[in-house]
Amino acid sequence: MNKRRKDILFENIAAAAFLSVMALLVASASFLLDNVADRRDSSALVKFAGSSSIGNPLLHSDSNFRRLYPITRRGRLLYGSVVALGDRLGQARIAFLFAKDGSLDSAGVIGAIPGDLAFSREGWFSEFLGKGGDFAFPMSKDDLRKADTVSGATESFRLTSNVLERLSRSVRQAASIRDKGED
Amino acid sequence: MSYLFIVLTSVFSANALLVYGLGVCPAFRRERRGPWVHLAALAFVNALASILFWIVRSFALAPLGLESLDIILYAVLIAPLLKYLSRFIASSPAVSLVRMGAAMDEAVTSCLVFGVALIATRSNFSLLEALAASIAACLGYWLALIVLDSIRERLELSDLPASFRGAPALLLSAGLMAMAFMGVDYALLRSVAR
Amino acid sequence: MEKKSSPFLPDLMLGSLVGLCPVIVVSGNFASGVIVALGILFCTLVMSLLMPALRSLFPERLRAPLAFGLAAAFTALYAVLAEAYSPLLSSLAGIFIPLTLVNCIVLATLRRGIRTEEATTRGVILKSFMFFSLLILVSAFREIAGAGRITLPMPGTEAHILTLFSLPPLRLLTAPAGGFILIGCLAALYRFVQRRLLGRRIS
Repeated sequence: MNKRRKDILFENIAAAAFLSVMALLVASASFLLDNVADRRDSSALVKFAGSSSIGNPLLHSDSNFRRLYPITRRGRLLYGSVVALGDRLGQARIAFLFAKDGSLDSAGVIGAIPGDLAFSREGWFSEFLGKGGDFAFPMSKDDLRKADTVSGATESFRLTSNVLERLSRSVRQAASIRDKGED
Repeated sequence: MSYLFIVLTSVFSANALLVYGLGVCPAFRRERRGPWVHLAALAFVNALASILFWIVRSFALAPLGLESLDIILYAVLIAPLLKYLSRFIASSPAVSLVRMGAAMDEAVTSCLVFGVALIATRSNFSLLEALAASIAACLGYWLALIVLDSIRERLELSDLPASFRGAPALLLSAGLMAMAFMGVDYALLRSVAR
Repeated sequence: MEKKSSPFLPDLMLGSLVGLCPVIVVSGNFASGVIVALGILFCTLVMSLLMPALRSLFPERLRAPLAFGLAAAFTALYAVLAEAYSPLLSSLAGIFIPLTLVNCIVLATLRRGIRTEEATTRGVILKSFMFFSLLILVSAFREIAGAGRITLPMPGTEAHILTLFSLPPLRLLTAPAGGFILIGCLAALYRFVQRRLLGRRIS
């Protein structure tokens, strides 16, 4: 190999090493701050569930939720997650608790921007979810006045139902794996 | 999620230019656009970038919990690959391919291509859904661009106050168009796509 | 597009209409505007300071991919830090934090840094600060006039919102459509001021 080619090879290796070091730096910062986020989410869930028994999280690569925690409340096993929900109008972080069978136990808003967002009203989850889905768009002027029809027609309804569907599926999977492990 | 719903949403209620504000700078530059070659270049580079980004993120980064490195991987792997491909296409003897390669080369580092790839990857789409969303986003961008170009032609013949001539009047027109595009409700699209 | 530029006015955004992508959408909320503006400022400043070292250490053929990769690393680092600072604000800014990498201001800094040998750091810093200030001012105005409140970019998971009016005067301003209209009006005002006070003309 002549000197020119050796120099080019050395320069290429130096550039690749330089970028690898930068990537390593970002990855370490990401892992370090992931622990902070883990502590923050688990403490928010413990506070919301009113329980002190929380297990190690199961990691997910979903863009709305990352960790699913097994939580024991009064002897009953629940699964909890802090979910980022948002649309064009704003963003909210919501703590969800699910039963083993994937049904929603409770929801609590941790923070929302702006405050008048649909997601920021805790009652919104319990009052409207499961309603209006099949008749999403108001078919007549009378329909337009009904609260559940309007809710079913909004982007927030579509987003929430999609996220809860995926979260519920993850809970059922986690519960079945845990049950198999106990058997 | 139905493909028709994804396509209609990406073209109208989540239009890349008028709702996400992606690719605003080239849209307001006065330049002649070769319609089909430019559209083909944008659609091709958008689709390829979104597919590669989706594959890298889902199969290489997500299993290791390293999603935060996706920006670096786009810069050091996907963008150079697309640049190389666009220069390879531009080196062909056919004139239309040369123009397409040049348009692709320019688009690789634009916020439209990276933004659409980010949206397609972070919306929990499957690979085919991400592909449909990225091509539809490009069509939506092109639709808005064509309408803006024809508005520009009319504005150039209008008697406007000197300060509003050119880009300011076009920005105001884009604002009015954005209102119309955002008015296309998600739920309406869902009932159309059902 | 612009024939002459003035260092006294934020001509990069309003004169040349450069770097508008984040302005149209994220400036609808003050906190997300601040988060994105800080990201662009951080990336531009770090890259303008590192470019002379990159020029002296690496040959020309490697500078462009290295500079782009390095900008991506700093953007990713900023995204991680923003997520740790406030997950709520980070998710509100959404794709616009990673999009810092391909922001026209950042790309212009990289291009200039790769090509020129002369010291351009001062000019880059000045223009970045102008862009930063304008983005913050536009964000504050849009949220106050459009929503009657201001969201403060405070750390943590909770939102800190100051409500100023119960009935916001111009609701449209918080939407992307309002962003286009406001920037259009500001660009017209900028051209008017340039023409009247400084005797310059922008096509």
